[in-house]
Amino acid sequence: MALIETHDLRFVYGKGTPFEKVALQGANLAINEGEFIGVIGHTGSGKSTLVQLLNGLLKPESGQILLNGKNIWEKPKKIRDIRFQVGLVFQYPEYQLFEETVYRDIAFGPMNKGIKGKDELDRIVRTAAEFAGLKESLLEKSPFDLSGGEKRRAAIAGVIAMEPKVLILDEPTAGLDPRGRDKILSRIKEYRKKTGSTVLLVSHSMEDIARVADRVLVMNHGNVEMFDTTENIFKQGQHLAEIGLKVPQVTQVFLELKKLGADVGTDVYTMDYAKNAALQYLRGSRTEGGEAQ
Amino acid sequence: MISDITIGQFMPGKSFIHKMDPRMKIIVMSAMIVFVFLAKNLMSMGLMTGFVFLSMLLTRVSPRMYFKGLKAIWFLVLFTAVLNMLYLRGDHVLFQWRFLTVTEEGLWQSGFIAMRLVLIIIISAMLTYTTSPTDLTAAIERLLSPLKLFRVPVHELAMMMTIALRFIPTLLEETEKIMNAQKARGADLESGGMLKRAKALIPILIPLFISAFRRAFELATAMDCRCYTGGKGRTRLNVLRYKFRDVFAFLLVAGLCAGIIYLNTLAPALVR
Amino acid sequence: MDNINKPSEPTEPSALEVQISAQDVYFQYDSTDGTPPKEVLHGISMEIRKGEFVALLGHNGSGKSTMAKHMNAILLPSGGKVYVGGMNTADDDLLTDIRRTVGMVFQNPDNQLVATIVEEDVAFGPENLGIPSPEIRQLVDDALKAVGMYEYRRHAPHKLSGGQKQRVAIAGIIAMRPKCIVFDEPTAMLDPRGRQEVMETIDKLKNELGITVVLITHYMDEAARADRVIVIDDGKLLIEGTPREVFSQIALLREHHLDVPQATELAQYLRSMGYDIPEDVLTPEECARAIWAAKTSGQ
Repeated sequence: MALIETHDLRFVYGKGTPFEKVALQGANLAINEGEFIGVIGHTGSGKSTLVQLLNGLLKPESGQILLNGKNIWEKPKKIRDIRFQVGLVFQYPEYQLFEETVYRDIAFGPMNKGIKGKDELDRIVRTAAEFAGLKESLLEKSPFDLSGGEKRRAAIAGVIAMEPKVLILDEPTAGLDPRGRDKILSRIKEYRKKTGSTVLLVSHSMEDIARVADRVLVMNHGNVEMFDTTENIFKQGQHLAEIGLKVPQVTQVFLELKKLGADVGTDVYTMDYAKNAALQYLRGSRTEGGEAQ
Repeated sequence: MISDITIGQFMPGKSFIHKMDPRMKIIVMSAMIVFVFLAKNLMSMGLMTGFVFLSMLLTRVSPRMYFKGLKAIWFLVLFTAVLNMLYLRGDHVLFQWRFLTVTEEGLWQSGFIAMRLVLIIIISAMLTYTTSPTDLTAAIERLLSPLKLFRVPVHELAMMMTIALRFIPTLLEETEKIMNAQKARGADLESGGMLKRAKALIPILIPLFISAFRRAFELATAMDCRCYTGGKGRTRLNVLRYKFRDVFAFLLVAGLCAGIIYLNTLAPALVR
Repeated sequence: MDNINKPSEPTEPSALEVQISAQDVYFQYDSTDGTPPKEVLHGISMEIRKGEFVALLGHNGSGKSTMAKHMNAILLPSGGKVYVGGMNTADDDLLTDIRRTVGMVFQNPDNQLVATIVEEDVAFGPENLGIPSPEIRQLVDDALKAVGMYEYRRHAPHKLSGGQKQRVAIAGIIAMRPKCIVFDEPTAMLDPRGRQEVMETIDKLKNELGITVVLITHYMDEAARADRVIVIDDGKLLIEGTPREVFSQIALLREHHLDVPQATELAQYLRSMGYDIPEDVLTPEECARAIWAAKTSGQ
């Protein structure tokens, strides 16, 4: 059984007003425990609506979301419990920091969850901070004194600290420099490896998705356009380009090569993979999917 | 809920009233609000109502929008009317039950009060529906400019108003985002007593204030970059100039005033 | 702006063509809590020539934004000098002239728009300069057409997309007819479509209006469009040159936590493996063609 399933999930903004807009028109998908899912699609494709539906912040117009086989809206009064199980990190999460110290800010989620024991809270906060790559010495600082990247990671720690089964991150690297971006991506990878949690990463950056995801969900005009392994998705560079998405540069190189008449595969999406594939091509052996990393 | 309030929203258009000078609109419509109180009998009230409804149609904004605006406060209108009906005593008792007495005078009075409220709301809605906030601020700035002699910082106040109008939608959006983010961290905003609810607002208000300050700081830098140095020596894209239609509107409303006063003398007053 | 009150040091004739010249600039932020002031720029010099498109790179905290803010006197150097079209930015009397010459566009489009209607916002700068109304109308219309937002002139800014807002912000600057615009990470908060809109607008400003462009960015594909790239690290100039020259220094850039375009990296790797591929490849198309050429010539 899949960890999360959605059945004909539909959502409409501004129902009954002149500004009514269908954001999601019947999405069906299944996500298994421990998967790392990349979610792509341009603004207005319904991806942000989808992730807010998954943790019960929005209520579907029709259709169902099953978490462990149970409809999350079965008991609407208990919807808060779902938010602890499906942790959602919003875009620019640093703007939600409010406490006097980083430590207390990270503790906000677990305390809402009802964690009372001081030792347990301490363990949770410190573990979350470590996952987010925050040094011990930062914990007693004011969150507003941190650097941009540190703030972002402190906010992510605040969600990790709820110990959710599923962690959803909406554009966690937006606006950061390459160093900040690399740090966050590697921390998320590490977190997922150590806890075995399910992770959904929403991003505009194909390069980011290519680096981390097992499977990729492509949203377009409120529909699930494609949902397949990362390799299979990037093989369809042409299709992605048609719906206005940009494939990684290395994929573009291979798409161009193919256009020139070269006998190469186009399922190349990471740098290491590209280096191997290009070498194989130059040496004269046909590139096959094979090992990615 | 917030989006239900239509009063204060600008509906772009090209009607006679849209094209009027915003200063004249403010003058004329304030005068109309005063005249609403001048009308004391059915004839003068009839003239006033007719005038307001005709102007309303002239704005070419769908009457539905006006009724939507009224919907938000119909309860207030009804409440005031009923209260007046029961409170006012007169000689011609129509209905009596225990301590509740309804008189003919009371009925007229409450009817007039309700009508006045409705007209005032329509007039104010007319002003805001047909005038962009920018025009409105510019007009207020110009109308108040004599106060500069008394060292009232009229330009600065108008600038503040413009910026506030510009940032209200942005900050509302931001509030919603922050609320969602804290809800996602399990914040409970919906249950508990007053104190608990007030405390639950802290995680929303602090980030909101911090963000507002950051925005203010960035906006100030951006304004510096665009050579803003206060009101001195500033020109404007749209210069306000009274045109024939403004004079016409002025004369029309002056005529309305005369008409109401004249009609008031033809029949006894129904309202104090 | 042509009566150049030229600084004494650079005397070569090309100095006339210099739009912005920073000479040995130091800058420190005064601290508010009693700790010693923090120096962010440690003696940096650079020149931006008229009509040039320069990309300024560096990781967060490298000092590149601080440097940019010196280019129109938002910040004044604590040591050294900055000249804008020959005007010393430290001269208070020239402030308006300096800011009219060098405009600035920031990261968050929301926080640069002042008015509730697009055209009123674009008019804000010219209004501040005291330009007569009919001329403002012309400037505003021209500016909105230049960024492709003329049809939106009566719209409310908060209802526009990020890319559209940023284009309105750009129109607000070009309505002041600047010689140069400094863009401080203008695409960082935008989605790919918005980024593309803004980058196309920037190209247009440079090519059609002849405006000098300084672009601060983290996106290497954006920097690759520039005529010249300047890399700043730790408040000092690290390297400068054409995008091809700079991006071929992969090891150096990596060491300073900067990206290189993937196409460049792939080409260099293949070159290091002994294939005949140029080291200054920038775009995927170039890279593909280079690989294709290496393969076909090798057979």
